[in-house]
Amino acid sequence: MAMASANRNLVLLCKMLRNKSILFGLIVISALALMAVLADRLMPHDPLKIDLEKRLQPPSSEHLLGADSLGRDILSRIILGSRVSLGIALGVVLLSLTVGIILGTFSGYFMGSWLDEAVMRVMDILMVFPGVLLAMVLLGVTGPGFLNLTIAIGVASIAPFTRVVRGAVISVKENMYVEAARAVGESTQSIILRTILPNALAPILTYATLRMGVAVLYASTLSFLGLGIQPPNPEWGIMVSDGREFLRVAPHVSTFPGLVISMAVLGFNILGDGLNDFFNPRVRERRG
Amino acid sequence: MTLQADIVLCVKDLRKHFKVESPKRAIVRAVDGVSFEVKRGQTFGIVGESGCGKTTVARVVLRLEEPTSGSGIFDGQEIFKLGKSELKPLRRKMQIVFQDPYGSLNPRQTVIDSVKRPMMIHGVTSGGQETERKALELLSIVGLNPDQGSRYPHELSGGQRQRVAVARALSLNPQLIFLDEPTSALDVSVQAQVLNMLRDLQTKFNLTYVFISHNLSLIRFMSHMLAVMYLGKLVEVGPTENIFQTPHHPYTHALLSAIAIPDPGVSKGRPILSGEVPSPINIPAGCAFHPRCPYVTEECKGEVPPLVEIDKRQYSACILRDRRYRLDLYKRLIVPT
Amino acid sequence: MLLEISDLRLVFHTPQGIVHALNGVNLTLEKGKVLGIVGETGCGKSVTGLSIMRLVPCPPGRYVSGEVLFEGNDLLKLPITEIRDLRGREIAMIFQDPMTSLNPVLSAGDQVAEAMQLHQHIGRREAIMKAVELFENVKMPDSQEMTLRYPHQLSGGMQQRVMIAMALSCKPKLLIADEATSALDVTIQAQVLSLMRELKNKTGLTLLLITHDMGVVAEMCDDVAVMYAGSVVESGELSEIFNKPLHPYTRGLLDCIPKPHVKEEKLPTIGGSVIDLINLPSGCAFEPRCAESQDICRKEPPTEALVGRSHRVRCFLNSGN
Repeated sequence: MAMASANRNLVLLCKMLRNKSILFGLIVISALALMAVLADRLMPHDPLKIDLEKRLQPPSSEHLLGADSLGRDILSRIILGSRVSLGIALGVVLLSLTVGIILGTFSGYFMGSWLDEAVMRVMDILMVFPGVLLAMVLLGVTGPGFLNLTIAIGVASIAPFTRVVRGAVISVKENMYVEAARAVGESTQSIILRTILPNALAPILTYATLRMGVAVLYASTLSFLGLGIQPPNPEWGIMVSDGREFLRVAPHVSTFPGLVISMAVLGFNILGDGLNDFFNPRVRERRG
Repeated sequence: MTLQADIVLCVKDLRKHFKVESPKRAIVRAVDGVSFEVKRGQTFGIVGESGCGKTTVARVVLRLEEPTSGSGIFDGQEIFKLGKSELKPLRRKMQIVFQDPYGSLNPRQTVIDSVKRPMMIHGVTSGGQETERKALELLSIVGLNPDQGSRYPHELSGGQRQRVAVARALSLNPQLIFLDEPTSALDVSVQAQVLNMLRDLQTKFNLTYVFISHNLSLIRFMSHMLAVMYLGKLVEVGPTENIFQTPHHPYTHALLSAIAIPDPGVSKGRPILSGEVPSPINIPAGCAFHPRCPYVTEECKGEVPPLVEIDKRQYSACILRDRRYRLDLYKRLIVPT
Repeated sequence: MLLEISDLRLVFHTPQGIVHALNGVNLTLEKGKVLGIVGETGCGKSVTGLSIMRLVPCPPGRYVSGEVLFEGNDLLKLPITEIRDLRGREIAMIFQDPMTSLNPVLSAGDQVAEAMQLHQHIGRREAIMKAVELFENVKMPDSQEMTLRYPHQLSGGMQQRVMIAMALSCKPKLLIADEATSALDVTIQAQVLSLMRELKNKTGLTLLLITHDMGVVAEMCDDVAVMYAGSVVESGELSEIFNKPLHPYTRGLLDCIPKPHVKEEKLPTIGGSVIDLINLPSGCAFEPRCAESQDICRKEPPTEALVGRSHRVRCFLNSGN
């Protein structure tokens, strides 16, 4: 029986990889993840080492992507920065996903009740503020730093997650098999955990993937504005900010980290699109 | 109130009203005063067109919806007075097979898990092994290969999925099984297999069914007793054969005349019932059928006619009680007797 | 002969493999008659209807061979512009679920008028007036008022009448009805079928009814074609098919339907389940389920034989007759 489900998952994985978007997205994200994990081994130079002689040097054989305003190796800083960005993305999604699933599930299952109304009104209020602004306000209160940044962006992401989870739960709830579970005597708790959530996973996972890209963008933006990761820690957003003054003479300082941010977000978005298409049976039919 | 030992379910004056938002504060009387009895070992058929309330009756008795009023005695208990916590033991005794084989099974559960789940919830077996054994036995009772147990619903055909649904319903040895249009989504050849299986199981295990359908041919094949519903009320109740031979209520006549009979020898010309089923928000006064009834009189527009016994165990809600006709389905004639 | 389909073969290329949807379909339909194509899921009856209107998406579909002759012209070979002109004007089609076939944001009157404005080049006002007339022809009460209603304000039976009105607005020669009454209540189905019969008698319309319901066939059709696994296994006049069915599938199909006018104890069934169109056997497609199969049935597919005036069967059991 366990073999059957392991087999089934393998078959599912193979089918997924045939989807070009999913494949591309996974390749990009895996590359970045590898970078983050093996950062220590991949970095050609010490990312914090200042070498004023090499200031603003364009790409060369020594510094493959050039050096920044303090002579630090951009490539090494990008590699180490991946750890920060992906780490934040992961933390943000874990936080907002957990809270979003709890709130969204109750809200969706008890659709129309006072609980649902209360939760949705709170989410409506939260969503009045643009995400970055909300995070900025929170950071203003807590101060900068990796953990605070993660929590701030996480909180800003709770509302959209809750709505997506609620929508998914409501749509799964419409199915006859949920009614069948009730008719057979399943408790509400059991119905939610065993019947509704596993079937609602697809849209939730897709959205989580897209949100990771958003989280990377938020982190970079906030650090760019000086509210997130503080120097000298390498972070892609700060690196773009550092290179602002030198855009005309040494564009590479901002450009390369900027490109990496774009690639990361693109990777998550394309993966998310691919997952969305993959799970949508009608799109699958048309292509087949 | 004494209850005969062989009556499994006795429903009295069941009502289910829904409030709707638009038009302003209107009420949909989905079920409006339904009473019937189901004898053990028999099939009680409920027939009617869309919107008549037949599925709602099942859902209310199963307590998947709460009744607006009425009483239901099931296995000696007043089921509409049970609190939420007392519902679980009720579920053991009453089960349902839904219409849609493609939606009534959890897509993430294997077939055998779907069949095991009810037993596990109610703790009716002594442990995992016995549950597995019973589940496999149930699968073969409904004509499925035991090794299809590890399959997922989307790997099975519609007919096979319905068999799984039946196995699931049987797993708790319920006293009563509701069959809500169990074969309308299936091909006719598969339908025949599933219906034969249901009847065989009924004989073998002395099962009691409530069979809900809009298809009169199926109802004739499956049920011993029949109730015809129109706009939330029963218009005729009685032994199936009696109703098919001598239907009394004009709506029953109309339903029977309207069937497209698969026999070219049957006369094609027949009176066709005109008009549409009115919206359940605006149920006509008096007899709800009067706007469409070919025999309508002034009296029909006054009070709602009650179900009255017009013949041996045959009840009809038409006030023209003395009218006696015999329906010849073949010649499509209504012949006075 | 209004419509003649010969040896039509259609496949679909899917990731799971090649689906052999139509495997040599032969049909004829005389002007003014009603032909019923009957069969179960996957037999190809709907695809045949769609093929006549060239509504099958190609790709993934591909016509391997065969012709669809409408008044002598092969519809499969006509350019798409001519087909579009044909659709609605010469051949019209109505489907099972009128709710999804009707545009929810246009009133019923506008939708019917649209078709006429397109094909008959008349102005909107004139078209709406004609729409009211059409609604009267399809027995809609308050036809003037009905033209203003939107689809969601109409019942299933009314929606189907709108569809019929739309279909007949340009006075087509052929009306294809694909399970047009399957989603309707029994009494409403009787009304709509009676309407269709009346319209046919009044205007000389030719009807092609695609259905799984043998009762509808018995009520409405002059001729019947029984399909299984993409080919016509038996065809002929109504009385021949019902009273003297020759193909085991036809017999099985007729036997397994519960009949409302007789009391039955047990329903005879056809064993097995519907065939997989990707892996068709090399012999007769029905053989795996056939109780009377012989060796030859496994080896080669049977050819069509004429047995009687217009009664054709595709079965080795009958080739000797």
